[in-house]
Amino acid sequence: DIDMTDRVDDDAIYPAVVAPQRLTELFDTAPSFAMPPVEELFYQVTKLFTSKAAVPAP
Amino acid sequence: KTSLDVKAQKAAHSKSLIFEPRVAASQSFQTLYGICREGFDELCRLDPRFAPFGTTIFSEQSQHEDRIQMTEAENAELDKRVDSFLRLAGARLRLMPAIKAIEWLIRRFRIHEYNTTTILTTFLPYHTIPAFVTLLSILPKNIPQVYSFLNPYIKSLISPPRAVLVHRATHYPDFLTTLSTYTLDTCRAQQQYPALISLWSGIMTEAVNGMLDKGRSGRSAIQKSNDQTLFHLIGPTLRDALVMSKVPSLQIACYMVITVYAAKGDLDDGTISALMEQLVAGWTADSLRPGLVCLSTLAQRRSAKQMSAKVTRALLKVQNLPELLADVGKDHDLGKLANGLCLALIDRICRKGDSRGLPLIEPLLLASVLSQQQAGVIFKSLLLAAYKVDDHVDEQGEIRKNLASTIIRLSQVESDVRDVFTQAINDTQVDLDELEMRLDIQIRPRLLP
Repeated sequence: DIDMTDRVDDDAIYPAVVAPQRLTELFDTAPSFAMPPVEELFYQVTKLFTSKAAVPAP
Repeated sequence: KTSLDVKAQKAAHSKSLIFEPRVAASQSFQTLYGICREGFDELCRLDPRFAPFGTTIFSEQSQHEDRIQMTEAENAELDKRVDSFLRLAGARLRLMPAIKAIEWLIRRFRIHEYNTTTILTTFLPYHTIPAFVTLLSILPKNIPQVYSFLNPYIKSLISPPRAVLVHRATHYPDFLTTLSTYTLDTCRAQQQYPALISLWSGIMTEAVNGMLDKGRSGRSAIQKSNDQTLFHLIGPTLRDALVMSKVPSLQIACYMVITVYAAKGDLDDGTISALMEQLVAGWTADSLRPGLVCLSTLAQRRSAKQMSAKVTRALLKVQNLPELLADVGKDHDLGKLANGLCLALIDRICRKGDSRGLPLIEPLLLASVLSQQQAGVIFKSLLLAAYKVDDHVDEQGEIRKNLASTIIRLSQVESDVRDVFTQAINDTQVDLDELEMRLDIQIRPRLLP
């Protein structure tokens, strides 16, 4: 038989815990007309919310 | 009474973005038109899209137009032109020609009284500069409810800090909706500019973050209802913005909002899948890379593994996908996305005999975007597919031949994953003789070192 299950599945999903001020720090650096390109901000937000450090222990 | 009317008229006429009230009160429309038209002409030189307004709200004739003398329909038409002009001028509010041109609309058509919401939203990306405070200083006593939170700043004539805008957007949906509608309408009309997108994306992202925090509840029924409320509030905006392929910066701004929403919110698989499908329906070459990153964040939060048909089809259309994923995978965890794609591609082979995805699976297995465990499962799925595919979907046996050669190449590859594949062959106890016969190809001799 072919065993297709992946037993050591570490996909457990927990909501990210990020202090709101961390997000504010990203956006409140300059007036809207002097902000870095939106793509750059996107990568910074992604880093903040998806880095492994942001996922708490179960 | 007459003297009171004259006084009121004079007071109204003294509201200006440029001139002191005393000076403004004494200006004739003819003098003003000369000054403001100069600003408008300069704008036309900067951007020819302004030119059509030269025959309407900036025409010679406009000097003699008075809102009070105009019919309701004429007023509505005027409002439309003013809205469109303001959206286009938004990009240039730090330039004097734009301020001069808007001065005309304030003095002649009193847009600060009749179009208060639009002019305030237009100036919002510039809420930190003196021009914004000047605008606050000439607003009528009663401003629309959606901007009533600016009253303390109107009284004290100081710029509202960004935190005030974020707080309002988090706690009062009407403000967030007004800002979103304005931004999306501007993008639809191709009149967007970076400051507006920056303002909207930042406020929207922080507001969604704040609303998720606010909506947390230990009671699941309340949590569910809060989640629903939030989805009703932002869902339609995201849906509309994600498919605006002519405005990649707006799409990327949406990816930012979605990243926070997916990472923090408790989204069900249906919602996540819908967002993934909307995302790939709109992405373009300019939004593809961040789009893939966002797609992978969504995939990470989904419990179902296999990518849907729509997402799979969209990924199949991406040029050089394995190289792109390998590159993006250096900084981001693309495991679940790549895994889900491989599973969907193998499923297509088995069910439909559609092997277009086979050339993608091989490089993905070797690109280190999958974990060893995921790579093992995908390889096992390939072995299984080699058994499953029959004459029904593969009349000529071409697919089986392709599958076999892929399996062989992979099992011979000089890399760490080779052990994973060998392990998979051992685990599955694939009878290579039988497979060889089924696939009508000489596997065993080539498998031996």
